[in-house]
Amino acid sequence: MAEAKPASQKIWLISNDNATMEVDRVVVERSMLLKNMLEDLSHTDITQDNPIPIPNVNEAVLRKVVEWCEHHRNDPVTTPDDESDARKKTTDIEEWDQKFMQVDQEMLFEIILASNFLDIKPLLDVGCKTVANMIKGKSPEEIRKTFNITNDFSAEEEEQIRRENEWAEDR
Amino acid sequence: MEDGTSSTYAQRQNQAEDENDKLSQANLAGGAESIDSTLYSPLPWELIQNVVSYLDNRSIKSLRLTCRLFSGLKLRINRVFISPHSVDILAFYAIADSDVYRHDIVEIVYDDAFVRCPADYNDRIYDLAVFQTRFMDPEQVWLQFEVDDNIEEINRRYGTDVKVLSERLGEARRAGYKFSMEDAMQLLIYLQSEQQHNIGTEADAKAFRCALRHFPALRKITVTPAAHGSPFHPLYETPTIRSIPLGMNYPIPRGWPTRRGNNPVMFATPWEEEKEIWRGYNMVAKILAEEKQHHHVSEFIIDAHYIHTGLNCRLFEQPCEEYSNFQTILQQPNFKKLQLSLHVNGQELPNVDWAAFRNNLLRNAIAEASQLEHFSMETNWDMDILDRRIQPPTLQTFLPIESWTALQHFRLWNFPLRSADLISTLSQLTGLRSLELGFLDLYEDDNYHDLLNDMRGTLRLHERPARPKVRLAIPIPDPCTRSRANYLRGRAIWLDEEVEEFLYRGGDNLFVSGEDNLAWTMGIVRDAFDPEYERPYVPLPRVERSHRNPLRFRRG
Repeated sequence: MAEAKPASQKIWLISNDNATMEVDRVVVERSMLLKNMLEDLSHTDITQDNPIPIPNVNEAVLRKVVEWCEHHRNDPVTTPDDESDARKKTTDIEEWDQKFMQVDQEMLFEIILASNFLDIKPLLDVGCKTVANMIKGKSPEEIRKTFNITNDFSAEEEEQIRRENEWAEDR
Repeated sequence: MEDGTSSTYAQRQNQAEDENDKLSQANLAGGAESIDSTLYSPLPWELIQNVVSYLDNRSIKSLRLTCRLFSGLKLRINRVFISPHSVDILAFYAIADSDVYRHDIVEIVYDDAFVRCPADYNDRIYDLAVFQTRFMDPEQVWLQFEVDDNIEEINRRYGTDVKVLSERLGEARRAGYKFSMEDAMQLLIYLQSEQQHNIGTEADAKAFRCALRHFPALRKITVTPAAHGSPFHPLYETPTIRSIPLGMNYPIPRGWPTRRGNNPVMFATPWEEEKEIWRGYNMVAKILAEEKQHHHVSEFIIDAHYIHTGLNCRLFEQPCEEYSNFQTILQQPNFKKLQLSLHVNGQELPNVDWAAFRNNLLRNAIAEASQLEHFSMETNWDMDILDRRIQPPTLQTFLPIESWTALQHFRLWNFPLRSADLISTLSQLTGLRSLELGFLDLYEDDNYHDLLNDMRGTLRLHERPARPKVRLAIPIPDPCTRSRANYLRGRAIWLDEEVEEFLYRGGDNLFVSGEDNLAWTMGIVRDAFDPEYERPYVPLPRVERSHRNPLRFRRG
């Protein structure tokens, strides 16, 4: 059974490049994956010498993710119902998050992958919205430039995609 | 417990590895050795889909055109358009043939905006223009008149709104100047000729019949004469409308009879006399009825979308083929939603006396839909009408309120009635979750102030277990004529928040005691053709009416 958890309880995480980090439990619990895991562990199970391994996530990325979780430590947890309403497919991002996401593309994608793995839905959404905003309103050529994509279409394939695009409204 | 959790964690790790594998496979499938693997591998497909969920189709289209991998992204298509125009029909067949898309289609929109070039409407301003320029080609006069009117309409709608004019419309208008009058005329002639051809071969009817069998998720049919929207703001981006160059100024086809400005109202003629005007509607309804075994359409939307027209209500005066078809559509099991836009002008004449509403045909047909959840009625009633000797029919004369046990949504737009009738009707609709009332023309001494009081005091909506969401809209008075009927179609003052405040939170009545006038400055002006337009309502000062000079043509 889960035990009473002191507000200041610390948790230790270790990145895939062996950096150990001490983080408040409430901050760690922004990750639904880690939260569920911690609920089933005794609070003495995780120590500085026995940190939770976070595979696939290196130190730099893990520090960024923890920074985000720190800032949003007191955010209310969204229920799936709120989510469908709140999402409404707007790409508005609050100012702090916008600044937080001003990183190079590699880091941006790493943050998205880490938040997906750790199940931090609001961070995943901010990441995906940031990428969406980098695509919005751009021509195919501009998108290719932005993401360094090589055009590998044959002329016929491209024409076929153009034709299909005509089936759909722009909105 | 611990085992369970740790296995979840392990599963996650495995998933992450799987995703990496899938990704590298996708890279291979994407095929090109020439492609640097870092280009393709930022995110697994599932997360790319998440990104795409924030994009509109315009951006998805661009993304699909960047490379093979992203060309596999699905466009967001859940409705298709049919009309007598070839571009629409071709796009329709392409989607119907596509196993990727046809399963997603839930709605067909039939665009019944018949192109007439020149329009044969009864228009005294236009007649005057032709008279004054009688040595010119009447078609040219008509075209010039129409495109000028579009610009004037833009100025009426956005003239005081410098921001919108300079940003969006300015751009569209500048683009429009690239096109000559000849371009607009050629477009119309082309649209008209292919329309004639496709009607001759019944290409649109064949497509519609095919649609009913090809889209397993299809549940909604919309017929509208308003697809082209207002100038530079189409309501729907049908393939045909998208094929018209952006910013092109062209006469907007409507199909069904509409009233221009303050021209005289056109009366609804006996159904059999002019039923060809509603050709698209008639075709759709006929095929829906004939194919009733082969579809599950549960929503039928006849949407004039605030442009003051509708299906001729005289269809309901006496039994006819079109009436039977309408009835058959509503008999479908699980029929849920009906929106009726009706052309009612002239029903108030003493020799007509709302016959189409009083003789039970409409009522009986609607009563067929015993599971109806959503009912909406909009008419082109002329709120400025002065002769008020003939009382409008009560709602319960033509609506089978007593059989609406499942009704959850009720909307009434632009209709004459008495407050007591509305209150009595609403009191029987106990399961309402939403109520929308707009442009109600209250008869006798009834007024909005007292209506709201009755909604709170008599209906006691606040005591219902599920408080319905209430929306109220009123006309913006024309600053020149004070007309309530015709100023900027599609624009209205929405009073949703204030009404809810009054009904549910003890707020003040929105209207001056015993009147229809607002008690203070409030409300939001919205535009049915421009979703981005939203401004606090500010009453316009009354201005003297300026006479329009039909000779003030802008050349070239």
